[in-house]
Formats: sequence, C-alpha cells, structure tokens
Amino acid sequence: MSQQDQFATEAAVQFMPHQPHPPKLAQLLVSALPGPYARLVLCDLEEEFAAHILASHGPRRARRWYWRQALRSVPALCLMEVRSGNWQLALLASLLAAIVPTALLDVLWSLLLSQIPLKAGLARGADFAALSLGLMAVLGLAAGAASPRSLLGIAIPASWILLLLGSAAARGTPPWWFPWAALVTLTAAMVIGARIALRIQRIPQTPSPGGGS
Amino acid sequence: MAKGDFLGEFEQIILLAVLRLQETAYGMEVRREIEARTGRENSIGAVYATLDRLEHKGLVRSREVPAPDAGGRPRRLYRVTASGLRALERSQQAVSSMLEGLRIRGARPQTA
Repeated sequence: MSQQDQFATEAAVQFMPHQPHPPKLAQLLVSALPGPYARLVLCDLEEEFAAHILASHGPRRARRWYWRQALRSVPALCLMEVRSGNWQLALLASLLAAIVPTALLDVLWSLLLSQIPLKAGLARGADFAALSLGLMAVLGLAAGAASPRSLLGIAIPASWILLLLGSAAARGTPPWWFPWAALVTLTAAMVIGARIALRIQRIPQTPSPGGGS
Repeated sequence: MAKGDFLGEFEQIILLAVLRLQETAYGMEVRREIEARTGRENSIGAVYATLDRLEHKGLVRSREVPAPDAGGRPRRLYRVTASGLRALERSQQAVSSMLEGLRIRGARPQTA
C-alpha cells in the first residue's frame, strides 16, 4: 500500500457509512504535499471535519471549509519543506525536467537553421512544441525517478513555471495549448518516474549463490 | 537584541494557544483555540508551519503520541519550553512599553 493510500485509509476510518465524507480530491491534494506534516494536517482536517464542522456548518459548507483549509495549507507546507533545505533536489529535478529540454531543442533548432540557406518563412510551430513535449516526457521520467517522492509537490509546479519562462524566452509565444499540455506531460512523467523508482527500491535483493551475507 | 529574538504576532498567538491548551495542544486544537478567541480562521498548514519554526528556535517541544483509541489518529503534542516563556515575556514587555502613554481607540492611557 502506498503512503498516499495509507493516509486515505487512516482518514476514512473515522467516518460512518452514511456520514458525508470530505472531498476526495482535496484529500488527495493534501496527502500529495511534501514533508512529514502532510499526514498530520490530513488527520487533523478529517477529525475537525467529522467532529465539529459537519455538525455546525452542514455538509455543503463543511466541504467548502475543507477545500479552503486544504488549499490554504498548500503554500505553508511547501514553504516549510523549502525552509528545511530539501529544495535543492526539487530544483535540480525541475531543471532536468523543464529547462534541459527547452535548451536542447533550441540548440537543435539553431543547428537546423544553420543548414538551410534560405531561412525565410521558417517558424517554430506546433511540431516544435510537440517535440518539446516528447523530450520533456523522457527527461521528466528521469527527474521524477531521481527526486524523492515527497518533493514532487514542489518539483512539478516549479518545473512548469520554469518551462513556461524558458519556452517563452526561447521561442516567443508558444501555441495556446502548450502550457496545459506541458503541465499534464510533466505531472504524468514525474509521477510515473517516482513510481518506477519506488518499485525498483521495493524489489527484494536475491541472495547470492554463495549464501554470503 | 538580534532581529530573530523577537516573536512575530502569529508566533505569539500560537505560543499563547499552546500555553492555554496545556496537555491537549496539537494542531487542530491550537487552530480552533485561535479561531474561538480571535475570530481568525487560520489554515491548519500555517499552524503547523509556525509550530515547526518555533520548534527549530527551541521555543516549543513536541512529541508524537499514538492514537488514543482504536482506529484513531496519531497526534503531535506541543508544549512551550522555558525559552518560549521568556520570549513571550520579552514580546509582552516590548508591546507594553510601546503602548505606554498612548491612547488607542478610546482606551485609557497606560501609566508606568
């Protein structure tokens, strides 16, 4: 069972079958936050939701309260992780996932242009953006695998912002769909990368034939 | 006195809430105590972030306790250290001396 699933199970334990539950998406958001406090925050929110807010606010306003608390806790917990000094790894992962593909493609494009005598009418269009997304997916997988899972909450938004800044600087205005496609690609690639790394860590070490320790 | 020796407003409020709650001071109760007494709805994340900062400064100490009942949740209980009490006292003195002789919104002027 993953850590996230474990949090969700712990949180669900206290609810009666017909009692309104907190919003699932908000629970996932909090459990995906970096650092050791995410679990405490999730537990406290569930407890307050079930024990106090539901009775005093009603189900609808209680869910709104939960969302408000979850969203407002995100920056505080991320900043806490940054203060704790783990931000260097998240920054490295962000650079690998976002800036490296942009820089590599820019070099490639410059090389292509240098081989063509008449460069008029050449523009970096949708195909360039698609190529950028492909490269981003590959490097995002590597970045996700290299970054501790708890830091993805910082690494993914940081990568996205860096990528948007980098791509705007390198190619002017990217296509309208590029920022959203980039966010989906980065998130999927980095989460899959982190999961692959976790699976590899969990594979039990086979004992050597000699039976040594 | 160095800048870091002074407490921010929210840090003071958190320390006071922990003092008031005594043995039951954990994130949710601290947040609820502040909301009940000041009317401020702070996020639980901000409360834990401030408690973490205060712990790094040595002003509070925490310990994680297992869930009190089956199916319950673990809690991190906080208590104010002697340094925390001194820091609170310093902050209170600083505010008192700044208020001395001032009238704010019709309040009576304070005399030494």
